[in-house]
Amino acid sequence: MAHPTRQSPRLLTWAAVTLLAVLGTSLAFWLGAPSGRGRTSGPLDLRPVPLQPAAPSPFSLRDMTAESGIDFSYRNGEEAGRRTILESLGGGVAIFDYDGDGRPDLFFPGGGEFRKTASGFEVVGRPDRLYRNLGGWRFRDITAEVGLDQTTGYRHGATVGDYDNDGDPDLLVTGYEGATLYRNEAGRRFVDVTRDAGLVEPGWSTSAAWADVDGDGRLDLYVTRYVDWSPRNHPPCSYRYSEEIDICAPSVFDGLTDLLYRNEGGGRFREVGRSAGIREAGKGLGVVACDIDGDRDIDFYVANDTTPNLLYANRGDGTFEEMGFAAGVAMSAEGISTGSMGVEAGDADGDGDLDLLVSNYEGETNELYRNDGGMSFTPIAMSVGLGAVSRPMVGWGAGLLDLDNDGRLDVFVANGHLMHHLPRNPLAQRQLLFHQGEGGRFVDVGLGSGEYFAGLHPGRGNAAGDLDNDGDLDLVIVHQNQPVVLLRNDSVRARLGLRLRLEGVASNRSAIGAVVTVEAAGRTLTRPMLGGGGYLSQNDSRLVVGLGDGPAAERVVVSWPDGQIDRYDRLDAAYPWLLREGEGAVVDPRAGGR
Amino acid sequence: MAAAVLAMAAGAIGLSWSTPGRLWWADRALGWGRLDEAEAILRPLVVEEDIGAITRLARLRLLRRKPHSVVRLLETRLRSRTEPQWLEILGEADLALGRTHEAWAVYRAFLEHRPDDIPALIRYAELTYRHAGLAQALVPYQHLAELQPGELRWPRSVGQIYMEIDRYELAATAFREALRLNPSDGDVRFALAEAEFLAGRLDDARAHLDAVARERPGDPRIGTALAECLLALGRTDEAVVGLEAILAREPGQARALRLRAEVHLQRRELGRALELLERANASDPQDWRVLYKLAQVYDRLGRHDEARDAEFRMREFQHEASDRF
Repeated sequence: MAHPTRQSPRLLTWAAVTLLAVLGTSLAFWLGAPSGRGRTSGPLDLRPVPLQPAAPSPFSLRDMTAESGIDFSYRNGEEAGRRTILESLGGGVAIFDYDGDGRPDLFFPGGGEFRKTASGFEVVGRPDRLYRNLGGWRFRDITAEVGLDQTTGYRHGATVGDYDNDGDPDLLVTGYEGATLYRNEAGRRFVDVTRDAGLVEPGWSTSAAWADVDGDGRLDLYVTRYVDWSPRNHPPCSYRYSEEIDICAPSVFDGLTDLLYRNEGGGRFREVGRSAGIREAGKGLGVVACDIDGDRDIDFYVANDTTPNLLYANRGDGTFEEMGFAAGVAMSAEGISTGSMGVEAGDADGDGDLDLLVSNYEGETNELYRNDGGMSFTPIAMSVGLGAVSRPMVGWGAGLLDLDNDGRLDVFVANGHLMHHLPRNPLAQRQLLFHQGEGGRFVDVGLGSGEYFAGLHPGRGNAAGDLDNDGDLDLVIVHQNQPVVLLRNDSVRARLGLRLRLEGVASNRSAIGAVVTVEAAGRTLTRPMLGGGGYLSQNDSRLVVGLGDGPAAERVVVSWPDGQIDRYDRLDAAYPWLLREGEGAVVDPRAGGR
Repeated sequence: MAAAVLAMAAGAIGLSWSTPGRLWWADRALGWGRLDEAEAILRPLVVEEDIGAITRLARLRLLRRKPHSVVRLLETRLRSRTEPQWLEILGEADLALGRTHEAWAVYRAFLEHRPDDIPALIRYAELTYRHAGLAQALVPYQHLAELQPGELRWPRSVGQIYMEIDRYELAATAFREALRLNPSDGDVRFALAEAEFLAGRLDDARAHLDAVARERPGDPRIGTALAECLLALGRTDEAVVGLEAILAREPGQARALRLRAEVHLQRRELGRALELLERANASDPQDWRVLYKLAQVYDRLGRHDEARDAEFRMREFQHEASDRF
């Protein structure tokens, strides 16, 4: 017979072991064992791979801002936290010699801010700035001295044209409340003549282009307009990538029709858009005026944000037919209406006609539409090296410019994002700079072109001009809420560009619409005098034509807007030239010092 | 001895009628598949608000595909006390009922108590992707990647989310990690190639596409992607060779036809371009990219009526990218 005292402990032990086993199993089940794979590496490392310089650069652009005396930052008012679409556009710059001393000066629209009111908030402007070029990369703020210190609204862009043909370049400033026209009074003062001139249409204006559309020798004016946003039409917008409120897409609003003002003389303009065929309500951000089809009259190409871009072909009488889709320039290469911002025209492929460069939003590539003649274009950006690298960027200012004076147009695009809550998305982006090599391929050389391009910036408008009169093009770039930057072109000291200042006589004084053809070293270079172009900005109207290694142009031909054709033989690049319609070339008496 | 046995028996009987005892029997019944019996044991305990019983009954009801019953059992009780297990079960019930928004909130609450619970994190990640911002969906997927660093599903999911919001560099980085975990995964390598292409890193994209093409020769999707990459690199002749090879095998491959037509267009060979685009359109009448190109070519040839027809059909089929976000 088993002794009970020996059996009980065994039973209890068995029960305890069983119980513990059950408990342990249950515990493991409820807590959930992790995957059998051990920890073989660290957490997901999402730091981006550092960029490598794509290629050695023939460009050298040095930041001269600190020495220049220019301390301007475009302010968009984002500190109020309103997240308005108005904040997103940014500002531009106009390079022009306001006082005729031969040194190009700089004008910056001031931007604006938002002030609380009893019923919500209102839009308020910030002061513009005009800096006089003193030479030697020194500038002085003369805004108040010339009467431009009267802030009249939230401003974006500027364009320059001598609308009254008095020899002084006048200034048009665009903005949320509409455009403002300043008449230049002999380089001493600017006078607001907006109302007297009849430029009274309200509505959010962005870019503008001067051009003589009817051949009467007076500059007319095309003004792009954006959307019908207002403080009372400001819905909260959020997106799938975040629940936070962010900038609304332009699709939330209705577009505004652009304006075309006909210059009637005597300082008066009349808005004739509808009757002239400017009827499409796009969301305009950029416009360039030039002879796109080679029929000796001015056409317009308009960059619209998320609606088709517009190509208005001049019928020869100042009325227009819109033919963007048929021409192949309304949409991307795939057939999508892109977020187009900046636009530029130039002979990118050296075949004598004008091609079109457009900057676009992220997820889309910038586009170069090759002009195939007969108002037909082929998109070639991807195949020539301009497209792929631009896709992650939001592009704004776009420029076709020969930075190394080799006779081939290069490309600069200012980039910067606008959405605040995209994950890991800084507003600052890389600015793109491409060198065009032989064979027409563009190479991304920004990273090797100077310290500025190694950094990230919230870029918007930009303009090119020979700020130091050394025969090459320098750059001015406007940022969102950060100081503007002046870049001196130190690229190729031995190569001087041919410097040409054109002056119309029967044609408009600014010579907008003239086409210059330069023959040098066996090549023929076509350089137009554009109206508008870029993004919210104005390039220096003086041409700098790269001749390659040659010291002179064998021949220069100017086709003036009124039909006059002038020919000039052997213009030496060592001198800046004034080409006055109907007269011989003379060394430019205004050639300012450096 | 008898007294001891009696005492043990009484103890055993008492134990079996105690709550832990009944729960133990309920577990045995569940293990044996006697679900009615288990439920009968548990119901009185639920009335007594025994947590273990409620939990078991909820699981049992879920097993018996009675999610409404689970919601009735748990939702009200969770208002007065937080039991992580109940949250997890309620989440499953909400999902079974298609109440994905409610499930999302429940899993979020559960993860506050059990932040590293992988099954719950997976559910929560999927639901966040569906209901909240994509940036928020990134958080649970990235957490899963930390908890399961060897599991390539998570960096792949992160990469896919980044692609949806045009963050190509970040997508590429995530796909690279996925590929490191499984270098032979051709789908991941192809996704990485796409991300690199969209980020502008054409040489890297090409290298990955070459690798995938070696593994899957003759795959037109890979072949056309490689051709598009070569075109962007300016290696047009190589791209043409690749496209011609695809078209020799599949004469109606619409994307290859369109890309080949684009080369003709860039060379100003309108007739050849038209021929290929018409073939592409016949092969895939709803490809609006082809219709766009057709409209362009018809206009350039002066065939404006046909151009307008192509344009009309293009707009019909196209999903306008008018809202960039």
